[in-house]
Amino acid sequence: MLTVENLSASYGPVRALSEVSLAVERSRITAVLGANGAGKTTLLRTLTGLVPAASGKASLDGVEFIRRPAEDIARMGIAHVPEGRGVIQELTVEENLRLGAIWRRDIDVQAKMAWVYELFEPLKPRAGKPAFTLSGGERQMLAVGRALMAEPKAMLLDEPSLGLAPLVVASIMALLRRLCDEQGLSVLLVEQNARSALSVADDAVVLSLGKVVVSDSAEKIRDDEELRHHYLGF
Amino acid sequence: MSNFWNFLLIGVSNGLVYSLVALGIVLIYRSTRVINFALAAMAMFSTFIAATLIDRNVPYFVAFLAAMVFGFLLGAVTERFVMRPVESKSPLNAVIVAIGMLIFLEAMAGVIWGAKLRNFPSYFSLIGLKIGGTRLAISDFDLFIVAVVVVLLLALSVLFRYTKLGLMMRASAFAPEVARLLGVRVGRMLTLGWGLACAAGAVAGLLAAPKVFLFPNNMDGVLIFGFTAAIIGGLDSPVGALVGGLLTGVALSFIGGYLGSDLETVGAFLILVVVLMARPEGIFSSMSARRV
Repeated sequence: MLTVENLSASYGPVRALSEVSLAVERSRITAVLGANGAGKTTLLRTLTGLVPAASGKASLDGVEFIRRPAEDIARMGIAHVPEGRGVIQELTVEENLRLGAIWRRDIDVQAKMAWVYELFEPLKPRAGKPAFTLSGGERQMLAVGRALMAEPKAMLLDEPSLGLAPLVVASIMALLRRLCDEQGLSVLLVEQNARSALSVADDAVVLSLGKVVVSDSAEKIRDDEELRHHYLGF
Repeated sequence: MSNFWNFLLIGVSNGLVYSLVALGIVLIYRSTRVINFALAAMAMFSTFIAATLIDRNVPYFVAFLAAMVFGFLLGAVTERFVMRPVESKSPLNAVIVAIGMLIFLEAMAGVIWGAKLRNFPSYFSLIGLKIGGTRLAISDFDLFIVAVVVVLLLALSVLFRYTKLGLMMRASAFAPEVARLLGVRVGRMLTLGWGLACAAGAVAGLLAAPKVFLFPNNMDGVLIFGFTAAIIGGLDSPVGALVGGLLTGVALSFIGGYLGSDLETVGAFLILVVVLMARPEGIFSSMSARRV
């Protein structure tokens, strides 16, 4: 279970996150919604150690991790799929996948890779190709597949739907739901595309100017027309 | 005609040394976007270490290995304690610190070993090989250079392409932030990269010294040629470093042979200017591939 308590972060004098709290239990998806600049990406980057936290706490299954170096946080089992896919373009598909489990010594990399290729069939024939030859959707599959290689406990996804065709978005969302249930993952899903995020999420928080303005079940937020109009634009 | 072949062979032999220097520059540039101007001094210092050991009757190959290890440690320590503090600042800071390191090491070498030209022993003969009745311009030592560079390049490509460590080093170079998110200890990879680069520089120094002799600042010229080679190769491609070194070596050998040896340095700069004007990203840079 991923818990965040009163987390704040700043870029110089600009406060980008203020006192954000949320919790994601195992096998559950929490969507983080909000407009551009609401602090969604900063929230993920602060959690995984790329942006220093000004104050607050975060823990995974009771183990505090905020203010640890990014690589140690990754090694605790927190996978961050950054915005813009985050695949390493110069490396091949297979090298990207291997890298996903690079710190795990107790994993059968071949078997894991075979499993990822089963989940994302289009990747298999491209195994030896550099990642820059992949389409946007394939890169997203690779980024998610790579994150799964290390058998993470929590997965943080930043705008996985960005720039993808609606059909691809739908299949990625459905897959996230399935993985979350099967693997017992805690998923924090940052999305601008509120509609598709709410379609798979259990809970949702809405950020505005770095603050949590609403925190409720996804269903309630979906049904609250006024809130949707005001913050989510649909 | 025999002149032509001799110039070509010498060019290849010198060029492989420039390739090593270029490789030292490339390994660091592609992971930290810093040109390590101190590489010349590091190569010189490591070679002086070998010379001192050989003076004390340490066998040549032991001294050779010791100089490589010294170069590795010097590079690693420099990255960790000299370059790391300026890593997050503007690139100009790193350049100035690297030049400072160059001046410091050359001055230290002057203090320790004296500012006089000394020769460096070569294990193999420097006298031209004889094939049939003709004497070639290349010697046993040149063959040794070829062997060393080929072995070193093969070892490095195996390391980078087929090992977990190499994969982590490449990931750290291409996308440090993503690598950290995947649990790679990027800082350690940078230290290791500097170590390897400076070990390659040390070998270049050991191979160049029998021909250019040893003096606190006389690897600077080798660095200029190696730098030319690295630019031709595109600054971030190890294969480019190899090819760039060979091209530079052969071109300079022809310029020196046909036009006069004092034109070699001018020639290197001329090549540099032409390459930068015609194809500023170099011939082998991955940047052009990425633009697709």
